[in-house]
Amino acid sequence: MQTRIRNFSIIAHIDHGKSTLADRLLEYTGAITLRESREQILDAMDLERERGITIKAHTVTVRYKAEDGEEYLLNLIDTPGHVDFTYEVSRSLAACEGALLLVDASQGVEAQTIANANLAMDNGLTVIPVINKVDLASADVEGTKKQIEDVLSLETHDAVLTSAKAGRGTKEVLEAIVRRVPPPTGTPDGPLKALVFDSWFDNYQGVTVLARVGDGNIHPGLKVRMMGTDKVFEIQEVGIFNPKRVKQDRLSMGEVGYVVAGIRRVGDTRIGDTITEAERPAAAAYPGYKEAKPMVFCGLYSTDTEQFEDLRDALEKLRLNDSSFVYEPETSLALGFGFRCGFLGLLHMEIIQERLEREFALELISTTPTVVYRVTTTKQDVLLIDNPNELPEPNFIERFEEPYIKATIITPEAYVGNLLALCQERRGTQKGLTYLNPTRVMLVYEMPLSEIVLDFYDRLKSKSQGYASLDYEIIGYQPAELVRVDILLNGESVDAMSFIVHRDKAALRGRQVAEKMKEFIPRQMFEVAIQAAIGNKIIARETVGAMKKNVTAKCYGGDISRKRKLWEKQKEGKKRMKQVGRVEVPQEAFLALLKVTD
Amino acid sequence: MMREDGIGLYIHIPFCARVCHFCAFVTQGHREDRAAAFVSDLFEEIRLLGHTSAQARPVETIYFGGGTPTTLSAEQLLGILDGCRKTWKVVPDSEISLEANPATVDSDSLATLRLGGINRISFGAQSFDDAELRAAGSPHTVAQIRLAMEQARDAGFSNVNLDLIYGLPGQSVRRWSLNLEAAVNLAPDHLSFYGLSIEEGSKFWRDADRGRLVLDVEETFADMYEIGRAMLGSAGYRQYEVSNFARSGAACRHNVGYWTDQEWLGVGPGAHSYIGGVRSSNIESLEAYHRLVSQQTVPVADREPPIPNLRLREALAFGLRTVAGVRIGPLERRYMVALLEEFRAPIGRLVRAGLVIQEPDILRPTSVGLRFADEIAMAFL
Repeated sequence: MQTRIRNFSIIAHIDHGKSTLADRLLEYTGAITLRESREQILDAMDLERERGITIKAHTVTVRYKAEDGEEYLLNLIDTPGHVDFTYEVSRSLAACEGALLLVDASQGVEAQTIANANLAMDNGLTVIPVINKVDLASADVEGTKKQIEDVLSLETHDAVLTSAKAGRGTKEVLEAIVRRVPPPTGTPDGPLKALVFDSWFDNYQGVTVLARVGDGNIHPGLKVRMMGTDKVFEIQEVGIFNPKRVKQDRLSMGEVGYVVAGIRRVGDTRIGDTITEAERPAAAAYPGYKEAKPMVFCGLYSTDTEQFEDLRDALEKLRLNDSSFVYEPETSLALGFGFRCGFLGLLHMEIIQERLEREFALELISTTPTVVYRVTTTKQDVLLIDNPNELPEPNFIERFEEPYIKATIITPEAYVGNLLALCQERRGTQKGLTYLNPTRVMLVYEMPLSEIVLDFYDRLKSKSQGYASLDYEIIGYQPAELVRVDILLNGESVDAMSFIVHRDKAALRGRQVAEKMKEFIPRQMFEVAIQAAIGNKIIARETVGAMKKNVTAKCYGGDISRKRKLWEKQKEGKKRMKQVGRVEVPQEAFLALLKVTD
Repeated sequence: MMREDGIGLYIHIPFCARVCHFCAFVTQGHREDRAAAFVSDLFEEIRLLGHTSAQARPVETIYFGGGTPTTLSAEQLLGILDGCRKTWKVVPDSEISLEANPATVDSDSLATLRLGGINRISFGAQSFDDAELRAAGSPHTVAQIRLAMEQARDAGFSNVNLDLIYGLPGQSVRRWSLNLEAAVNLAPDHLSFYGLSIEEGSKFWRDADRGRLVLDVEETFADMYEIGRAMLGSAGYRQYEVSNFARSGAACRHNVGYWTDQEWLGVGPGAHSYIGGVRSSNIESLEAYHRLVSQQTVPVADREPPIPNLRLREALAFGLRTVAGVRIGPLERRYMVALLEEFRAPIGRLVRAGLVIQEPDILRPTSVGLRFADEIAMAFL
């Protein structure tokens, strides 16, 4: 039976047609009818969303009767498609033997496609190039093949040509999967060894785990141990998605499906962990398991200080479903009580913030995102700094390092000049410039993560009219000349506004921030000096002149109620302001800091 | 709490010859027939009010405002006054004020009004520059202001006010001082000046909204205000409120009542009242006003019952608009609150900021504090 199982995923850039192709595969195999097609799948997902499930990975099991007359069980393992989730993607791929590399014939290879295809090959997967949208007038099949060969060193003579939209090539794709993707191998009666590649939480069943069985089998009643977290559970239910959730008696070697085991916290079932039998453990866990490490941090505060408890509850709930995101309470003199939160990357940060605001109706102030710096003190202590305010005084710092990334950018040739300048400006070092074809260029840069945290992606898009694509991976720490810049209002430092920056950029950035603050701080009864400082040295100054009057000229009988209501409103607005010394700072000022650009 | 002290009467006349560009008041074009019907409605409302508990309290001031009260004839105005006298106990030395537009009076009407008992007249002069008056949509000319002033004196008015506006579109600081000088030269007993404020619903507001009107910055306004204070001070007028100046003894008692927690009854569409601790306002629409009083219903649209301490906080917020400030003892007795205890924090803050001075039994604004009267008010609300 195992010889007729195929586990595969689809690697594609956004808009290259992944979900359309997936729909066609489901229709062709009869998992869904043409009529119920899209709606049904989307409905199932919406429902999950309503129940608070993060859709990070997804599996569908279909039966396919191939030309050789045999019926095959195909497991499509859908992976998330963003750079922040590289580790999650790598675990999903590790559950497969093959991958479809789907490329839009009119667009060519994009940065993320390259990263994920390389990831698939590193995991030993058979990668099948599928060239989609071949019926478009702008399709360049030969050029796309050549790009795949040049950039990924993949053979393309047997690439499958499709038009997922028109339903062309579906059968060819299915046949290629059956013929070229190898069946899973393993020991059917050996000790259970299954790879966790996703999990989510809902109130009804607790944690549901998606897993792929490598050796042995898994069935209700079995006592299992999570080898990474060392927790023991008893299996309650196993099953597959077809795409509806269907209970099974067991999941055997090579099969992919879900597992429910009375687990209350997703943190107990980390992605990449290995499930084994408690009584008869596997000799070794799957390699590559690691704990997700947040790379980007920021402070999150509710604009209304009375919403602090609500914010904490919301963070707790989100973490139930996402153990890669961390938070701990912190206090800011300016913003009050809040949380320092860590994220895998920028998108991850945006998703969490958006969910907090949308699903929990919270109004948030976030402080400028910061990466995790590594500081070696003169006493040889190594500190990881995720909050500028925790930085030791300069004279205690012996070595100051920041995380670096390798960024891969693919762009139409016309924008190369713009993008080289942008990377240069962000302290990038060029590691490669390759023509994928006469009009498309791949740039490889090493640059500090901190330089892409704020607005790099937006700038990349605007400098390439939306055409450039970006992928990056963290490559380690490198020493740098870094300083902390403090923002002072009438001499008092605003803790939530401090930031760490390269020494050469400190003056410019300090000036930009001071100018921005001037726009947002209203006139007060006294002059307000806005200063940027490195230690005791002032590097920029702006002044908000004192208000000269605030008086309603006419105030007689009828005006009394009217004015009173007006003032009560104004006062309500003032209450929402944050107090730094005597200076009142509107919340917008903190948010505006995130938009300070070069 | 039943108060028995004297009250004021405010009578709102909702007509104007034309609506000035800075005005958003309840007012409409004047027509003879409408005016006659309106006067009889006013009588009806006065009659209705005559049955309320406030009737027992002496009326110390009456104020005809608008609109432009002098769009009604002198006889109509005196008729209304007579109705008031019949309904309430109007004290012998009461102050009876009338707002007037210089273009709507003459020797005869002024003489009739004075003889009928009006003892204070307030002209909305606004400016002593004809171009400015035209630009503001005012119905009168500078010559008409001078003439009205002379006629008022001839008619025997010994308490005359002129209203001025500073910060009119395009007005220079110098033009403003010339206006002030011209006003002082007419030797009124009282002067008020107001920084132009763009009220929602006024023509200026619509213009500003469409970008046709750009207003002067706060700085200029502050300068004009200080110049005005200085000029009037050296001309012998004493400031007694943010925008009001008078020769000795000529302060408007009715208006002072608004700032010092005195109660009053308002009559007419859109008029506000503050009586028995309750603030209320009449319905604004003239039609609805007519309908209600015809049905023998008090035409109140909105009523705000006393909220604990709110009236005390208002008394502080508005009392500190006056130069004399608030007397602590009487307020403490009226509201039975240890005022300095209750408001220790805001008072401390205002004193430290140099906006308010605390003396035994008195809190009063500093000279700078008058420029920040809204800040002071907000500290208590």
